[in-house]
This record gives sequence, C-alpha cells and structure tokens, in this order.
Amino acid sequence: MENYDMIEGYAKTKRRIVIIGSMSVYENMVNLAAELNALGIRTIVPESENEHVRQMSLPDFEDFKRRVSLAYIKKIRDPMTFCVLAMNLDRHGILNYIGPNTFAEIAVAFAQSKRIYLYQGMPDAYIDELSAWGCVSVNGCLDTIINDYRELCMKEDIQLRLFP
Amino acid sequence: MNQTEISIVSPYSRPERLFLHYFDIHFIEEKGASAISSNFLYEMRLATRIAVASAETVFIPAASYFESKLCRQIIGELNELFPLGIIALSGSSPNLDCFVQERLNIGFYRENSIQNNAYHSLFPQNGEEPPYVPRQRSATQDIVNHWNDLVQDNELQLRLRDTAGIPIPNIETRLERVPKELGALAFIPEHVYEILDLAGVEKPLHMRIRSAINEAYFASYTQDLAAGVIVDLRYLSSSFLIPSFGQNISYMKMMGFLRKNNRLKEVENCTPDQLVRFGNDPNWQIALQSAVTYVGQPSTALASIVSHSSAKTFAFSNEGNKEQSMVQKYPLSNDSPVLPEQSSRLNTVLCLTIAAVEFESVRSQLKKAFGNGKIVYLDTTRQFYAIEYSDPNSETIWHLASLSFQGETEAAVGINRFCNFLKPTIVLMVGMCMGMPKKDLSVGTVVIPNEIFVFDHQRLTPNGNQHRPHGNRVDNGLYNLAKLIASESELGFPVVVNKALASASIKIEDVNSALVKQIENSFPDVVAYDMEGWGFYLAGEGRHCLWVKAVADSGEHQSQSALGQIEKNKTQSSATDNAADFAIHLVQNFVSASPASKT
Repeated sequence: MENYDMIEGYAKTKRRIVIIGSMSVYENMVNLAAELNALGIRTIVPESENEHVRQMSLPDFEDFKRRVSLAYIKKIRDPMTFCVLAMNLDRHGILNYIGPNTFAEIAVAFAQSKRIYLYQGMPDAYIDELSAWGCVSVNGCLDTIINDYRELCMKEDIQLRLFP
Repeated sequence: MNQTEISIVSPYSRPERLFLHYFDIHFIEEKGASAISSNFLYEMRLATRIAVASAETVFIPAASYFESKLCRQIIGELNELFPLGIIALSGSSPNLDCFVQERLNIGFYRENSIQNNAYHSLFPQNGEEPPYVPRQRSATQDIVNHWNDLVQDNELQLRLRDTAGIPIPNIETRLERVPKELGALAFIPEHVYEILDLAGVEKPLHMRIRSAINEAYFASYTQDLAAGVIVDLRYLSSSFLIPSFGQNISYMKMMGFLRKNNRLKEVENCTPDQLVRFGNDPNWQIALQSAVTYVGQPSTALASIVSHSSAKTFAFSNEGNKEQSMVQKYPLSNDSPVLPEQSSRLNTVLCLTIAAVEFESVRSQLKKAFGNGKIVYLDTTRQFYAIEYSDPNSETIWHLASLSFQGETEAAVGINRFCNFLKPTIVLMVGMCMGMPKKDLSVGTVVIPNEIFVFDHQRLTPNGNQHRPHGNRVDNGLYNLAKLIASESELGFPVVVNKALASASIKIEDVNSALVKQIENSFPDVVAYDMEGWGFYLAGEGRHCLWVKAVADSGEHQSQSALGQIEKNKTQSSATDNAADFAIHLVQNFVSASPASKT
C-alpha cells in the first residue's frame, strides 16, 4: 500500500520509505505513514488482514503469509526504496522490541545497503548487530528521517513557477 | 460399541480463573487508532469467547465494564451466562453501588472526563451487570507501591531517558512527587501526565508511563484473583508482559486449533450456551492442554476470596456431565461476600482514638447514639479490628478503632492501614488534647484547627535543641462544615474553630518546657497541642478527614497518686465526650447537607 501527498517546494521523487513491524503495531505504522505522506514522502506499509484472511483455513493462511512476506521483502530490496523504518514499540516487556520477522526484514535491508531507521531505541538483545549495521534510532522524532530523505531524495525546487 | 456412545471423561481440568485485561480503557488507549480497527475488535471478541469457553470463571475489572463501551458490547453478547457466574466483574469496593458512587466523585475522576461521564450515563445500574466479586487489595495502593519501587530503583527514570534519547531535567523529583500530588485522584495516566507536564501529543514517553501504571494495575488484579491471562495476542499485544498468577491461555495456539479444524466460524457465531458446550469438547480440552502455561503462585489473598465466595465460584467438577456442573456454579444472588459487614449504604466513618480513656468515651457516646456495636475484623488475616455501629437515620456505618501507640508516625501508618481496609467516606480522629497554657481554654472546649504545625524536626546543636517546625493549612471541606455548626448553642460546650494546632511526638508535662515557650512565642495562633495531629492529616490527605479533640489539660505535671489519676481520667473522659458528640453531630450534618439551589 503506497501513498504520498505532493508538497510544494519539493521535487517529485519515486523513492519511498518502507515501514516494517509486527501486525500488533499495524495501526501505528499506518499513522506514521500518514504523517510522512503529509510531508510529501512516499511510504509503503503492509496490507492489512481482512475478513477473508481471517476466515482462511490453516494451509491457506500459511500460504497467504508466505506470499505476503516474500512480496514485502521484494519491496524492501527494490531500488526505489530509500530506507526501512522499523516501528519497534515496547512489546511483551521488552523495550524497543524487534520481533523475528522485523529483524529478518532489517537484515534484508542491510544486505541491500538500505538505510535503516528505528522508531525507538535499540533493543538490548540486538544492539551489537543493529549498531554494526548502522541503524539509526530516532526516538519517536521523525526530523532526522525527514531531513535525510529530503536531502538525498528530493531536490528543492527553488525556481519560481510561471504557472503554479 | 457405537462410536457415539463412547463417553470421554477428560482428566484435564480447565484453568480456574482468567483475567481479561484488554478491556481496560488505558490499555485500549495505547493502541491509538487501531482500537477502532476491525482486526482489533475481532481479536477482542474472539479472545473473550476463547476465554469463556476455556476457563471456569472469567474476571473483568468493573472499571472496564463501565468505562468501555466495547467491553459492555462484547460481554453483553454473553449475558445469558451472567447468572451462572462464568463471567464476573471485580473491583476494590464492597459492592457495585459503592464502586460506581466512588467513581462519580469528581475528586476521583475529573468532572466531564471520559470516565466521569461514563459512570454518570450508566447510573443507576439496570441490574443486568455480571455478578460482582469484591477484591481485597487496593489497585491504587498497588500502583503507588509499584511506582515508588520503579522510581527508587531508578528504573522508570532510565526507561524515560531511553525513550527521550536525552536526560530529562529534574525527572527524579518530578516522578517522586506524583503519588503525593495525585491525592485522592485516580492513579491513571492522564492525571499523571498533568503532574509531569506531559499533556499533549502522544509520544513514546507517554507509553512508558502508561505501561508502568497498567502493569501494576493488572498485577494487582491477577495476584488478588490468582488469575491467568490470555497471552500471545497479536493486535491486542501489550508493551509489557501482562503479570499473571494463574494459568495462561495462548490465543495464537487456540486460533491455530480452530483454523486447523475449520471451527473458527463456529466459535465466532455460536450462542453463549453453545460456547460453554464447545468448551466441553474433548478435542478443545486437549488443545487447551498445549495452549496453557502456569505462571506464578496463588497469593494468600486468594484464599480469603475463594473461601468467602465459595458459594459463587469454581465448582467445576470433572466427574459427570459438564453442563450440570456449569449450572451448579454461582447461585443467582447478588449478595457480595465482604469483610467486614457491608451494605449498600454509602457513608462509612472511620473514627480513630489513641488513649484507652478516649476509646472508652467515644465508644460510650456512640453506643448512646446508635445502640450496641459489634466487633468486626477488617482484614482477612484478622490483624485489625473495630467496633461497628450503624446509624439508620443517616444511613451511616461507624467503625471505631484504636491505635496502639502515640506519635505522628504511628498515626500516619495506622490510619493509612485502616483506610486501605475500610475505604471510609469520612476519617475522624476523636479524643482529648492539651490546651496551650496561656490561652486559658476551659476543659472540654472542642478544638477544630484550621492550620497545624509539627515540631518533630529537631537539630541537636552545642547551643541546645532547635525545633524546626513545618506548617500546613487543614481547612478542608469537613473543617468548613465544622465551622458552620460550631456556633450552635445546643451543643453545650465551647468550640474553637479558627485557631491552630501544634503537634509533636513528645509528651508535655511541664508548662515551662522550651517547646511550650517556643510555641507560645513564635506561634501565637496555636491554642492546642497533641501528639498525632500532623500524622493524621498526612495520612488523611485527599480524604474527608477531621481532627476533633477537646482540651483536657494545659500541660501541667500529672499527679501520680491514685486519686489524682482517677480525677484526671474523669476530666479526660468528659472532654472526649464533647469531642465525640461534636463528631456525631458533624457526620449527621455532612450526610444531610444538600446541594445548593440553582437559580
């Protein structure tokens, strides 16, 4: 699911931020995407599970999960992806929790030389790996990621437009 | 033998108690916009159905039921099971009426807050609520204790610093003062944000604070009820591990079972009684065995709950037919087993005394006013006792209790304990005090102070002892009421209401002592002195509390002769009688006072 709004003063770019995280923080991911979209930043969030998915039998459900996971990994690896932003809220008593699926997606992003941002801090369990992979914690403040995106993906359109 | 005739009796027993935490509005708040998503609602409903099909009794905090529409909606679908006691509400008030009344008080939830409005819109109850089981623990006290532990261990500060990314100025002091500044207000995230100046946009900082509060709140319930919880939730997953003191059930594992057997729709759509039958399915019970984990140990607090609610709870037997055993569970009565005897009457008075002569005098005055009292114990371990009197006219229950020792600390700790057990509407300290020698108050004069100074803080210097007094206003609501009725001529004794009280854990038997001189020279408004006033107001902060004592002496040296002692006792008893009479009069006026007319 890809979205963005046009912002005057910034050039169009097709580069996007892929937001990753577990389904338990799905709405937080959607909200984060909306916040970035409002600034003209393209984002991708996973598709939500609908009624049809909920009613699937176990084999169908596993097949669905497999296809969805592969498709999302492709999006992370896509050259149009500027970075991944992991929504790592506290979960299950672990501060800055990163689940196995999210960690795998971060690893894919690292292998593809993508920038990696963490919405909160680094969880103690993976601090060595995440630090070595150059992950950046934004501690709930999106300024860093917005500035990096604008600087590297959006050239400021300083020329006055004749017909705005 | 035909296969359908085979009778399978599972040796497996269901988890006895499950606590559903996810209806709590602050837990839902953590989820933000997802709380209205279909996936969230679906999981909430399905997890509840799995819980009901699996456990002997499913407990829901009464607060969640009243404050969350989602909760009422989802639980309401299963209302046929209410009389069976499979679903029960729980709270720290003695009964549901008291529970709601306490929360209608704007000193607990702010006026027009979501919670205050929720209770207003649902009061009076329609009698269709699930049965109510009172708790022994105070959730607020448990949250305060947990909060203080986290602050003392520097844990909360570290969590907040971690999420802010930078040090937060004065965070220790700001966190430490939270419980005190809350007073009688509910210990809920929005009140804490106000104190910490964090009102505004939701940030990870808010989440960490909310988690600290929610964790303690849930632990208070699960420990008290010895209950497990639903774990492995996806959309309802929590930022912290939900504390558990019973058998947990894995939502994901039970979902796996339902998917694998194509029975998901069945659980989604079945009627309440079909849901109970579904729980008896041997395949379901086998699946449960792999989806259940046992965490922690039942607390001693549970023993009392179980024993006092044995008629209502947990009667599932593996012998014979499951449907029968379910029906044999709770009887239909709404009576709540509580300690001490409680009723739906709304006003309870905790009346505390210290000296034996004070206790005897107040007891005698209460007996005169309300007839014989009865001895009741206040806690399940039977450590605390009181004499209970009932005033049918004002629908008030009095509890008369006595502290074991004199002094400020003793008073503060003792009163706090009694308040935790009784949760009184009014707290009174009734007895006798010393009149300041130069003020010449007559014996029997009742004193109600408007401010108080404590002289416990001392410095031992080469130049002698230096007292470093602290002071505070105590002109609360009850004081204002006392002031209005103090001038009534029929009282029969003088009442001083606009002067100050001095207090220290020091017994004065010399009118020329340095302390007396210092008080007289530096605090001309002080007219009386006692040894517990400061501790009393410290513990009673945020409650309707009043110190009511009458002058029995002026600090002169006490006679050691038998005759002198008898005479002193008579004087003290007579003075305390006046204080007790005033206290009774005060409470009656408190109850009968009506709201001001509006034009």
